[in-house]
Amino acid sequence: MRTIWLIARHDWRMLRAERTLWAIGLLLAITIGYGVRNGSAWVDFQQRNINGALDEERERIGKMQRDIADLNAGRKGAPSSDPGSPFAAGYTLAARWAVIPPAPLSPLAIGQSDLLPYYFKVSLRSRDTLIGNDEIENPVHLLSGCFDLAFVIIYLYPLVILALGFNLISGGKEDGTLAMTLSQPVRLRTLAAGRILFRGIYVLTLATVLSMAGALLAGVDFSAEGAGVRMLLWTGVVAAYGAFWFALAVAVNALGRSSAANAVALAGAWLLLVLLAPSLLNVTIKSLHPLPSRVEMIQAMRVAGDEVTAQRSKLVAKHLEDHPELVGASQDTMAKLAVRNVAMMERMEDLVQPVLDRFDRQLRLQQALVERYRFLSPAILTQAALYDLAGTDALRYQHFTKRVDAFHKEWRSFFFPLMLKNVKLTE
Amino acid sequence: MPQFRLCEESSAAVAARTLGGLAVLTLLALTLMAEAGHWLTGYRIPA
Amino acid sequence: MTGATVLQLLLPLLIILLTYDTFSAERELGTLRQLLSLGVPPAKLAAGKALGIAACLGMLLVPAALIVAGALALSSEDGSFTATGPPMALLTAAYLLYFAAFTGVSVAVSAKARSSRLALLALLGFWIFNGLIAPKAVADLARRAHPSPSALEFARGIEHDIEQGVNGHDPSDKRGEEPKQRLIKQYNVESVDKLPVNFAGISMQEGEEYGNRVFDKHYAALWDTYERQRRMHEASAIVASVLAARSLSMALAGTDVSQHVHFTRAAEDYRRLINREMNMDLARIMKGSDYSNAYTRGRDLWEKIPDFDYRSPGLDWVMSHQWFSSALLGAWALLACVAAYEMTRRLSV
Repeated sequence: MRTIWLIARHDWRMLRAERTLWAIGLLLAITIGYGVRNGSAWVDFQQRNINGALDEERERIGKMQRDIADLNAGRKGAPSSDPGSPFAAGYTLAARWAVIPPAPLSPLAIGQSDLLPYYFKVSLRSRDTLIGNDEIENPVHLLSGCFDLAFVIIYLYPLVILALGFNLISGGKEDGTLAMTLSQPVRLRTLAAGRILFRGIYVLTLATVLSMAGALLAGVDFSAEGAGVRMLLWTGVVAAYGAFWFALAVAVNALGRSSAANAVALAGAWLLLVLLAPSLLNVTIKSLHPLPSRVEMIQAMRVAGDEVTAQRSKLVAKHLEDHPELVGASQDTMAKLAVRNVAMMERMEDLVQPVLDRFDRQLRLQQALVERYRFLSPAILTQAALYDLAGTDALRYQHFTKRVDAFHKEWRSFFFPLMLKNVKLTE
Repeated sequence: MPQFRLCEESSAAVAARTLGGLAVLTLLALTLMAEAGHWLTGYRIPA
Repeated sequence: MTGATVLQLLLPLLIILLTYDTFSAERELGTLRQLLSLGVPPAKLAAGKALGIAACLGMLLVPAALIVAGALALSSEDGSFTATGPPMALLTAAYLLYFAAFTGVSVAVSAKARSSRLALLALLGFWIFNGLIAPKAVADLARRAHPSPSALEFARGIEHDIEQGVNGHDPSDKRGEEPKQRLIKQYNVESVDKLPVNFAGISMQEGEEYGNRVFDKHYAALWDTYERQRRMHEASAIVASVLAARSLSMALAGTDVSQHVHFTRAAEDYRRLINREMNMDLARIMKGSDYSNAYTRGRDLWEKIPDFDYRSPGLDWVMSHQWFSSALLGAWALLACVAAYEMTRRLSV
């Protein structure tokens, strides 16, 4: 054990003299800093929009309450249309924003959060989530993707490790120092272990400390629920991913080829595992289980809309047949309108349901495949884990969309009875 | 009026999932390292 | 992953792996001294090395290109393949320049580097910067320098302008009143009900036109932002040639933002045409302030509307947006070749 430390210390002196350590430290610091900055800029942008939406809601509902109060008190300047009618409230005036706030670790990995909607306006209109509402973004930027900490960890960090490790043993063999060192009473395995130990500690410490510092600078709130555990796990994943690349470098060195051959082999492994495997998996999954396109969804909704409008009276009759309790209640004009709206909307949703079901099924199949084949490459595995920890993976957003749909149902079942009875909202 | 509530998955569930991935990664690294140790015993150094 | 990824990202890596030790390996093996003692002119030496690599690549690329061209020809409808000929030729030329730039840089680095190891490290660093870091970093910088509005801000801006007026003190209810008075005066009647034209049609068209003004203002600002971002991407090709290659490749394939905007403008004009026809028809057929359901029309009205006939902009339009990228790509290829020549000339054992 003492020998290992001795070797590690010697290795440190050698690398320090070469200035490699400084170069690597600087490179990691710059890329990590830039990545975290981008991540926190994106999270700030999301947060600003969410706050904007919630402010708008508060203002709108406040105005509605004032209008209702004015109307009730018979003050002048009261609006001509009744803000307390369940129609006005349920369709526009009281509409609620459903938002998914960024998770505590979101500045570390932008993940899928730049592609998936994070706010919906829920009202009595047809479900917003059917079409999805996107952030406005230059498509070229979406094509390039984001430079966030997760990108640095998954793509660049292995390269730094490989640059430090590709000539771990072969370098000594080529300049003759290996034979000299081994004439001492030290085994090659010990020598390799010592060198790996030092380089490993150096790079892993840099990566974890810098991510931690970045997270602090980005304003990650460690007091939030689970933030500490998540950060710890993040560090663990980064360390394990780094350990994998170090192990690969040693294994390639152990084959006894030249430094140049090692470099090519390791670069090839990086290319295969980090660049090719994820995109090939992606392409395979998308062609095996393609999602219905958005155009298809819009088309289905349009066809359904036409059909529903054409059969308006038939639908109302059928709805009244199914809900005989409404027959008596639906004499008043407003109530008639409400019954018609409910009947049409329900029918329309039934009509587009097949497309939605197909979408859900394909998505589930895609995710099952990712779940199974993420073990093909440590890069895929790491990326999935990091996005999961940062709360920017597709699953969290899907869960959100499902919740929004449930909320939409709840909203409807709250307002429709009011519309049928034409109850005025008083506050 | 109804209010929207998100009810997120608990951090414990996320942690359990991550630990699975972490275990696989660590195992991979350790196996590779052990294997490399074996290969190193047969390493020939040119005179 | 698309064909473009392979051409823009993976092929340069192949070039690097084929080229990085072209001189340094000879230096390490000691054959460089022999080679130089033959008195081969450096330009010939560099060109020879580059040609060797080009032959290697050609063996891979020419059959692949022929297969792709064949597949396109088979899948295209009658005659449309002839139309894709000129852009295909330009695309090929752009990629050849891109590959030439990479080959030149690789030969230059190989001639300059002290060892194959350093040459490989430097070239891999160059490749990573070019293909992975620069596109993302430039996207982030462009986003920061010229931020696109959030979807929420954008929608609210439009809503605000429609309600309050583009200039802020022209509220929509006042705007609705104005045509009413104007029409009453014009036709010299005492109320809207007596108008010989339908007021709903007129006022919808007025609202539509006001909305168009608002949309034009906001979309013009958005497209302007995209254009500024595009210019930043374009200029950044100075440091990363892939940005120029990507821009040209998207433009020639007809999948870039400029052509998308061109299409949306045409589609929007078409929408406006339909709306105007419909509103004016309502105004003509119905009288006064009748909003009843009695207004029904048959095929003849729809048959008056021309089909949407979109013509994608021609090659000269596309290339007029791409001259800077083309120039930069050319400059990259030229400078890389000059560097390869200079480094070969100064080659030392």
